[in-house]
Amino acid sequence: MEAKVRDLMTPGAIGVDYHQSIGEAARTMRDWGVGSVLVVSDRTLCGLVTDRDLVVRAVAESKGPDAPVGPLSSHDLVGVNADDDAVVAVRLMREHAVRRLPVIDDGQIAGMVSLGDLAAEDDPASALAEVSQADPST
Amino acid sequence: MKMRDIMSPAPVSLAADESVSTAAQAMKEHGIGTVLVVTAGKLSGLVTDRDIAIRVLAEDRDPRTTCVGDIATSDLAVLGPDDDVDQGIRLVRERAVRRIPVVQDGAPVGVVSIGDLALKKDQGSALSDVSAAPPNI
Repeated sequence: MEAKVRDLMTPGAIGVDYHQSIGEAARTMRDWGVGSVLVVSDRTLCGLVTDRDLVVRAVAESKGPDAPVGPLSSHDLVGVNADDDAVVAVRLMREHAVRRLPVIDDGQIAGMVSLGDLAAEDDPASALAEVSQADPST
Repeated sequence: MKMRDIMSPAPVSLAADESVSTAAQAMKEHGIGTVLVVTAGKLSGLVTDRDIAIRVLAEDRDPRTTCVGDIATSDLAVLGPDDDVDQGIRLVRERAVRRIPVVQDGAPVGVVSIGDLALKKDQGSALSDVSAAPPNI
């Protein structure tokens, strides 16, 4: 695997404001067909929230769609550089047991790279690659 | 290698009239992303954490008053406990799903995930490592 993260990432990361509701965050995930969005406060990246976070950190705590999304986000973000080799992203995912990483280029968020993106590069015929490339459920 | 050897047994199941909040609590408590929905002892549907985000939160429905039966996916691919790993992988590919219920006489007896299948087929893959890691809470 010699590809760079830049070649495999989904460019143009999607974000929501810290103060937006979890309903709005869920609609953003639905409309863009993604499972995670970055959380931004005062133009500063402050975390990442996944569809699962909305469920286990809000719905399971009897919160409804109106609750703010910011407090649910994970703050200890692990990122990868756009010019890193794909193997670096794989290693970071293994070490931190995560499926998605923000991609940093010149100090800015340039995109996201998922375990499925990397599987598609490593072995396009693998079951994970195929499932990852399928349309998201709605 | 059969499904009964690699599946997660005793799947978490809820009655169709239980609330989405209850389903979310079960997902958190058990560290899972899928609950099965059962009607009169038979598998009638499946709800994932993403389904709750997309079909409930994104629609501004109240998870405390929405029933799991109203948002469950009912057109399910299922496997039997004696089906082999290759059949499981084929079904995962055909249906583009990550988890498949294992059913005996209509009743759910397990769930098999793409990670369970990858662990059997490719012990060194990143997917098998990440799949074997504990879930986030």
